[in-house]
Amino acid sequence: MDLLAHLDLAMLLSAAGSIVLGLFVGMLFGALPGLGLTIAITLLLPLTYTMEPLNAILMLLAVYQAAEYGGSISAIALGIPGTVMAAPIVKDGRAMAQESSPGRALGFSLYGSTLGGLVGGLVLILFAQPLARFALRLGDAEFFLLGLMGLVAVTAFAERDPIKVAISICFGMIAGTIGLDVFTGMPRLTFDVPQLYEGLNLIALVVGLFAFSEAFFMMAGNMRHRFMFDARQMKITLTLREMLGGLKAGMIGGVIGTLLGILPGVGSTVAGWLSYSAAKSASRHPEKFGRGSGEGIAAPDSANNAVVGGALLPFLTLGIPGTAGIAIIAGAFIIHGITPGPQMIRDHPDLINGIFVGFIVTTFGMFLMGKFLSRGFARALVTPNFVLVPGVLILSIVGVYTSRAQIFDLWLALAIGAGAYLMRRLDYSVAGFVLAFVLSPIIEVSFRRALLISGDDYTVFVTRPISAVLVAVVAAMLGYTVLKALRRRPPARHEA
Amino acid sequence: MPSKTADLLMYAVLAALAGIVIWQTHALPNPFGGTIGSGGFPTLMAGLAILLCAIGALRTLRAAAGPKLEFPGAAKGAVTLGAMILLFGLWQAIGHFFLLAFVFLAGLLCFYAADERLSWRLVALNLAGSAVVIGLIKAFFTYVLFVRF
Repeated sequence: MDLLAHLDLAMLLSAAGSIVLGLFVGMLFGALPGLGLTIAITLLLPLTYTMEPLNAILMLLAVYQAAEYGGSISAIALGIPGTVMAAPIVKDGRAMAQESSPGRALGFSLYGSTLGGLVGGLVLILFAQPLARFALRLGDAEFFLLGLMGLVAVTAFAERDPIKVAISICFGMIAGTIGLDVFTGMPRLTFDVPQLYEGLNLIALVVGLFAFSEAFFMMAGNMRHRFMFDARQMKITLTLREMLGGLKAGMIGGVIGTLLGILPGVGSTVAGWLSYSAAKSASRHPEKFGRGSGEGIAAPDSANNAVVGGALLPFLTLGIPGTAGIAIIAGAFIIHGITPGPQMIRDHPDLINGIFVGFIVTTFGMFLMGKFLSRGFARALVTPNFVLVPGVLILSIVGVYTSRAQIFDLWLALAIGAGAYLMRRLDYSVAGFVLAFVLSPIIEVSFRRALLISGDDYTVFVTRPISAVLVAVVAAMLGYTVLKALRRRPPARHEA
Repeated sequence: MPSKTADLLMYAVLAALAGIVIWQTHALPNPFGGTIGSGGFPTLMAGLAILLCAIGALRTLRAAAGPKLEFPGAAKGAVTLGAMILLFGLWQAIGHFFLLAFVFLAGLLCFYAADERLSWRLVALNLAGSAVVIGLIKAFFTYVLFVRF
């Protein structure tokens, strides 16, 4: 594979510019509690209409990578994780920030994130081509089962009530069927509204689900409230010995994060906590965990960033997005008429090679930006919600309108936003909804095509060895989910 | 509102929505034959959703009364929702997006900032900040991305 073929200066510069913009926005939004990576990706998605496909994808991947690290900045500086994924970092990060220096904690976080990003990126580069070649041998039945497996995994590994997550997924699937049926050209659930014939606008949907609903959440409490902290010792400094001390934990986090990233539906939250536990078990000083251990920071941070590379692997090679972030990034592919999957790896080698090189560059770029600008991003933490909320709303409105120049999409986003706020208050999963929405066409088309080709013979889903294994995995995960649902009584309520 | 009531209400609303989906899709013609036609998939998903809602409702009924469900910042949320409806409606009716967006942004900034005593200096800052932000949006989206608002 010739990764550096066909590169020219103009392309490099525009790609670098896109990466820098993505890193900046991702780190900033990741750092600001309440905003996070989904809103950052959502707000930048409309810009991708005017960009080259590679630049658009690299910018969004840069947002994803940087937001994972950015979440740790507020976890360490304030003790409030900027993103859900940064929650495992709070305990050791805050303890080290108070007892030693926040800069040292940020150092462990940044080195861990970079290591995780590199591990995930290398696995992506090494395994994408073989997996895509293997995927070319898969039939519709297997693609249907892979998509289904992703959605069942979301339910099985969710921390929320599995019944509510499953209901969110069902409605995400239904939302994905709105529009003209690709088989028959028949309008479905369009209610004679012409704007719905092409389906729900993805940008309106994600803005409503994530940006508008989050803005409503941010209105709780005093919106003039400012976080206070001492930014003097935020300079990232770490000795070589300290760096090497966190290496093993970082590697553990990187491997766990990559593996869990590959499994659709699991994501960073599980990876972060699991790698924290694994690093503690493997540590020579487990007693320091929870009291400011560098390993306790490096492992989950590494896992969070490794998830990105891991989640890209099934997405690029099979077309199955594994996390809500990747599902939104899928929008950039859809906008540019590119269908992720084995055919894309075969038909667009330049794009794929560009993504591989860009991913590694993004990881190093994140390191440099984190090293020199973390203190600046930390200062942004004092921005009160009374400024952030109107800012998010106006950028969301402009972004939604930019996507199709139709005010209908704004009404749609508003309705979805209000509905999503209520559903989030009641513990439903908006991430599950958006993942199902993106997977819905893949699942439905492959399911119906498999049946059409087989003459309506349902055994097509179990006759081939691969599909039989997938059915077994799906059945096992469903069994686990049912057991979990039975044990969970009464349902606990999450805050957001 | 007690969380149990809210949960039951939501299950009922979602089951009703799923019912509408079934009503809209179950009778769609199936020109290729077979068991799953145009309406098959959404009908199947809606049926599953109704079943899950029923299970969820039964579990909620059997569970002990949960904490009261509160909506902190509901008043601010309602005003914001109203402001957004007004912005979209007026934009649709009379155009002039940037002017309306400036009023919307400045209005929300001042409204939210009023959680503490609002000084004239802060009002002036909000107005100036809104003008700058809307100006930048106009410049970028009109002259760089060529979007007509």
